[in-house]
Amino acid sequence: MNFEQIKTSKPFKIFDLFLYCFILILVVVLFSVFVFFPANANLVNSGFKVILHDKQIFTFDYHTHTYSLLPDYTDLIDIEDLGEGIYNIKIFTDQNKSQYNLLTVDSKSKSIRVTDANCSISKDCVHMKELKNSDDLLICAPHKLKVLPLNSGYKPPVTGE
Amino acid sequence: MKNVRLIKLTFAGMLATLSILSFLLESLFPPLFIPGSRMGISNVFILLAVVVTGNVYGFAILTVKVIVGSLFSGNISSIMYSLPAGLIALTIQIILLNFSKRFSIIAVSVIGAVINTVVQNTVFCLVTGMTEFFVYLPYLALTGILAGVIVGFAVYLIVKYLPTTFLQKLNSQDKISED
Repeated sequence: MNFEQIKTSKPFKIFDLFLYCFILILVVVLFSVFVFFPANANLVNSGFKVILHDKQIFTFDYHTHTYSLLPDYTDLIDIEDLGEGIYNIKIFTDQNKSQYNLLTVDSKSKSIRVTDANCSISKDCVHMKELKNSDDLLICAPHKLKVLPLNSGYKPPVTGE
Repeated sequence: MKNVRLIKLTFAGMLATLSILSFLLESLFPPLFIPGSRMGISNVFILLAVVVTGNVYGFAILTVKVIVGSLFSGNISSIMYSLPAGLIALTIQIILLNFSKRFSIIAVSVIGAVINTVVQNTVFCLVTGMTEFFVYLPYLALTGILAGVIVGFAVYLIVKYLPTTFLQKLNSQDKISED
C-alpha cells in the first residue's frame, strides 16, 4: 500500500474485520489461559517475600511483624518502623548501594507497594498496584527484584494444563 | 540539482528524531493502566516512514529508536525484548501493507501493536525468567489495541493531509534531477 492508496481510501475497509476477529480470538485465548482459568490461590496472604536475582533474600510476616533475611544481605536492607504497623524497607540491589527500591509495608491492611526506586526514568515498579491479594505481584525488571505474597500458590501457566 | 535520495534520507532522519523524542517523552509519564504499557506514539513515525519513504527506512528508524531510546532512558536491557518484538511486528505490518492491499492502515497498525505487545511481554518473561509477568499479557494486548488505533489513525491523517507533490517527490526514482 502506498501513500496514494491511503489518501484515496477510507480509514476502515471490510477486510479489516478479519484482522479484528483474529485479535479478538487472541485476546479471548490470552484471558482464558492467564486470567480466568489458571490455579487461583484462595490462600491467606500471611506475608510477602522478596526475591532478588532469583534468590529469596527477605520474608516478612504480617501477623507477628517479624522478618527473616539472608545473612549476606543484612547490609543491603534497611528497615524503618514508622509506627502503626507501617514499615519502610529500603533494598539496595547492588553491592555498591547505588541502586535501590523502597517498599512500604502496611501490616494492618496486609499490603505492600513500591514507593520509590531509581531503576529507570519511567519507574514502572512504583506505578504498579499494591500487592494485597495472594495472586498479586510486584516486579522491578531493571533491578531483577520480585515481591511475591507468601503462600501465593501462583505458578506460571503450562500448556495443556 | 536535487538529489531525491538526500531528501528522503533527511526526511527519514527527521522522523527518527521525532520517534526518539516521543519515546523518551512517553517514558516520563506513568504507564497506561498496566505497568509497562505505553501509547506508542513513537510508532507513528515508524509506520509513516514505511508508507512514505520505504521499508528499509522504517526498519532503520525502528532500530535507532529502540537502541538510542533505551540508552537515554537508562534501561539498556530493554533492547533485548523491544527490538525483536518491534522487528517482528513491523515485518508483519509490511507484509500486510504490501502483499494484501485490502486492509486499512488502521487495522494494520492495530495488528502490529498487539503483536508487538504480546511478543515483547513474552520475550521479556522468557529472558528475565520473570514468568509471573505473563498475567499482564491479556491486559497488555487490550492496551495494544487502543494504541494501534491511535497510531493508525494518526498516520492516516498525516498521509491524507501531507502535500501530494512532496510525497511524490519522496517516492520518485532515486536519480539526480535538475531544477
